Amino acid sequence: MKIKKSLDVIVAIFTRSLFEYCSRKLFAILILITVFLIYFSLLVGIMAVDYEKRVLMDLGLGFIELMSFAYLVYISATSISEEIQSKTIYLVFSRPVARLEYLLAKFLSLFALAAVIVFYSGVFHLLLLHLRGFLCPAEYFVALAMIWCKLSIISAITLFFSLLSTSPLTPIIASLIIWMGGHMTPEIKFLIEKAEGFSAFVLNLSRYVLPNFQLYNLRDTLQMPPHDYSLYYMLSWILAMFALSGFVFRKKEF
Amino acid sequence: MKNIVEFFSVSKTYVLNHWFSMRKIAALKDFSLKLEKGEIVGLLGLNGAGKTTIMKILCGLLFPSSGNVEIMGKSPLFAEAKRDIGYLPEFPYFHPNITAPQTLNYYLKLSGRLVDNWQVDKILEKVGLLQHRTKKVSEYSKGMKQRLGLAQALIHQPEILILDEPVSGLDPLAIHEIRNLILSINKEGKTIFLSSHSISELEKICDRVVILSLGRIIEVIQKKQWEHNPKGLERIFIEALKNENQKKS
Repeated sequence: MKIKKSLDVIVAIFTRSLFEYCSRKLFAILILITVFLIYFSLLVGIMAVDYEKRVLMDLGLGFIELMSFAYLVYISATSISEEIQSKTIYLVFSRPVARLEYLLAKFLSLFALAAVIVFYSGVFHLLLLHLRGFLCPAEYFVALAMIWCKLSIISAITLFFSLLSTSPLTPIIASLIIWMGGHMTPEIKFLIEKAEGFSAFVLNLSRYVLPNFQLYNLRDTLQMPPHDYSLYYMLSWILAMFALSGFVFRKKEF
Repeated sequence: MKNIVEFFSVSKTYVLNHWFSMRKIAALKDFSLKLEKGEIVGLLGLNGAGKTTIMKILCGLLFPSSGNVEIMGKSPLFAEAKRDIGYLPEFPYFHPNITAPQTLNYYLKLSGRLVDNWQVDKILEKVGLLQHRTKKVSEYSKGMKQRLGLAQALIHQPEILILDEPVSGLDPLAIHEIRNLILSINKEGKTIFLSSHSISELEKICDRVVILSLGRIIEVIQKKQWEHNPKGLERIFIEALKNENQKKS
């Protein structure tokens, strides 16, 4: 009975949050820009002549990732702070809602938002590929799933940072740095071999502190099958961020 | 009469961190109060007197630095106690793209209840919003939003209503309507704990008024006291503040 009540609360906050994220004007604008950018890749694709399919796929997937990242980081950074500012959170926590239930619903709604954006943009991208007469390889769907994994990790990290700061700018900047750093894992590994002393220590530390987003970069090598371990890697990051967020949030006052 | 809420020497200190400096602000000092079932108790004080802090502690949104609070013998940090309270913050915000019944059903679910359209309509009728049930919240006036705020505080049928500045920023007609609504809710046996800057409002609806200054209770006034004073509660309030200032100086 207690679990059922808890699930009802999580589902209520989850659906309300997802509805709120998707009913913003910014969301509609983002989808329009993504569609426009994917359409723009048609022009570049035509210029690439023999590599049109590859260019269309790479650019389309790149734009999907970029635009989804921008919106998700913004939403993750502001989701809870906006509720605190508007006092909506008072109406939640003056009721029998556990803080972990609220946090879990927020995390899940961000992952669902990532799925919604990737799905809409992916459908349009596929439609465009189909219109140009290209068949889509199965790896394409894996690449979309990998983008979703990356977005889920970064949104979990951003949400955690948003709990540590009163301004949304700090988590956005932190996430941007982590996003870029996380895509430079091979470069960091290379630099570690060359570096010495303190810089080697810092580089080594960043290797463990930053998530390795290259694990999910199937876009660069569409033929490569996904790593089995990438799913566990994503889950570990999300669980770690959830645990840390829960620790910070449990004593937060409003 | 049975005590429904009890504050035992509650103090609250805010810690403001700014880079390498830390500042402590005492918002509430040794606050003790008992609320009896079915009474309307008002908190009166200047800005920064600690009214909202008291309400937030009672709702479990803030944690006391020392002392403790009990709602029917339970700490407000526990779910069992929160089921018995309904809270209306000052200037409540609701999602603009949904209707009042959707809003109320959401808060009903958060209160651990099932969606109940009959109960939602009953509350909407009580707060005078039934004829606006199909409108989105974005189309509501400030007074209507305040009534919706009261509806969300009432939807799960709590025993205690905590109202932070319920008539703040409303026009005279809306104030009159909200006042009547509070009185009718009280007639049903609900305990009401409210804060306000408006002395005349508290005078009209409260059984007891607690005067606060800088986080401390300086006087607790019973209804008959201001009824027997020709200049009413306003005079008592000003004199109490003057006496307090004199004591300090």
